Amino acid sequence: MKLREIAFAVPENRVPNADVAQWSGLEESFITGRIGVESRAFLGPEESPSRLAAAACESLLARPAAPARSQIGLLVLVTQNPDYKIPHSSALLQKELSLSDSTACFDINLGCSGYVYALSIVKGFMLAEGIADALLVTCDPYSRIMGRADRDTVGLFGDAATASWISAGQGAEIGKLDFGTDGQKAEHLIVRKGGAAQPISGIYSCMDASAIMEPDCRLHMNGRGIFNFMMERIPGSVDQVLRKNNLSATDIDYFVFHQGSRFLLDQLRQKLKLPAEKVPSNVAQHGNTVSSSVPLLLAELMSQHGGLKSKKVLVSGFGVGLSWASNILFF
Amino acid sequence: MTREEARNAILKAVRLALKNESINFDDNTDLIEQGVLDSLDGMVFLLELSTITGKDFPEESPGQSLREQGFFKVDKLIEYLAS
Repeated sequence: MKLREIAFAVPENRVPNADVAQWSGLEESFITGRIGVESRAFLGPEESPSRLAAAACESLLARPAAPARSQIGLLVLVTQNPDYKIPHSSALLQKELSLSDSTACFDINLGCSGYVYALSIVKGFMLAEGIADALLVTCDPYSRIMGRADRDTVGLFGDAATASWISAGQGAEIGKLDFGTDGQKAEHLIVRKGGAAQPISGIYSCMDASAIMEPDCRLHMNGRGIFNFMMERIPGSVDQVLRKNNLSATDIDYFVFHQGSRFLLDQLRQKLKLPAEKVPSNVAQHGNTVSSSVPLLLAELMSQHGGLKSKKVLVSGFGVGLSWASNILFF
Repeated sequence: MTREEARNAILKAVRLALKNESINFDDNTDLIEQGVLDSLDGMVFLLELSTITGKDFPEESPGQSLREQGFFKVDKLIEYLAS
């Protein structure tokens, strides 16, 4: 099973750093210079996650080589911010895309490691069930869970959706996965209310910057906890995935890491002693788009002059859980 | 760890975090408030300091960040590390 093509969609609603600075009191120079985000897009008030995900899929399915809708045997959506608690958003997406009733559809509840995990999940399901073509979709709009005044998160995240075509035909081979979870640190990135343990009893809105949002209904992030986790776990995961695939770091053309922030990427790159040209980033244009960040950057690299033909790309996602997954794509 | 060893560890961790070997400060400095470190440098500093000394720092919770608890004041840090 191979990664064939990736398309993406970002909302039209661009949010400049001036707005973020006004909401949060963060300095614009800090957001641009240290976090590394120049602007990002947020879903508009009338837009839904599944509509954004559908836009990414439609962009992919409109390509000349794309499979017919009737050929899609599996649709997987990685999200922790679906349209509704019930049903799963992949079912809404199946309807939106007019896919066959025989298409297997399910959501995967993972954050920033989700895309890399899902590559292996999709590959395994396709092999087990004899499916030739699948769509792997990411869409996790954190703009819907961030408090606009929360200085820990509001400068970091942006919204996007991606759609990857996984095929039994040609494309980038999906290598052997390295993965892990440290559930003891789950509190470091959390929305406490809204699940079955703590249902929401009132109405809240994080989309209105002036609204008072019940604290446990919004995203909480322990930045130092996430930073320490990344520095402790991800270098080891990179070593492990290289070993599992019988490669060394010098064999890799690009290291596509989860785009947490420019600061995090710089720290990770320095710890791994990687040259800057091998660690591409698009965090300045999109912010941290959660599970969309790895495929979004892959899509951009694939569309650039020369693309990724014959390249070996290490992909690594890490975050919510706290969870991580790394793999190698052989284009 | 003696107070002098703690002081040297703090200086080393700040220099590593900032990649600046010439930076100096005294025991009365608040590393964040006085602009030696920003909040991102502060995370690198604490990780470096933890690696150098083998001492962990408390988890943060709302209203009880390490900054609010004074952990970026050099004299408080010396006291914590030397205790």
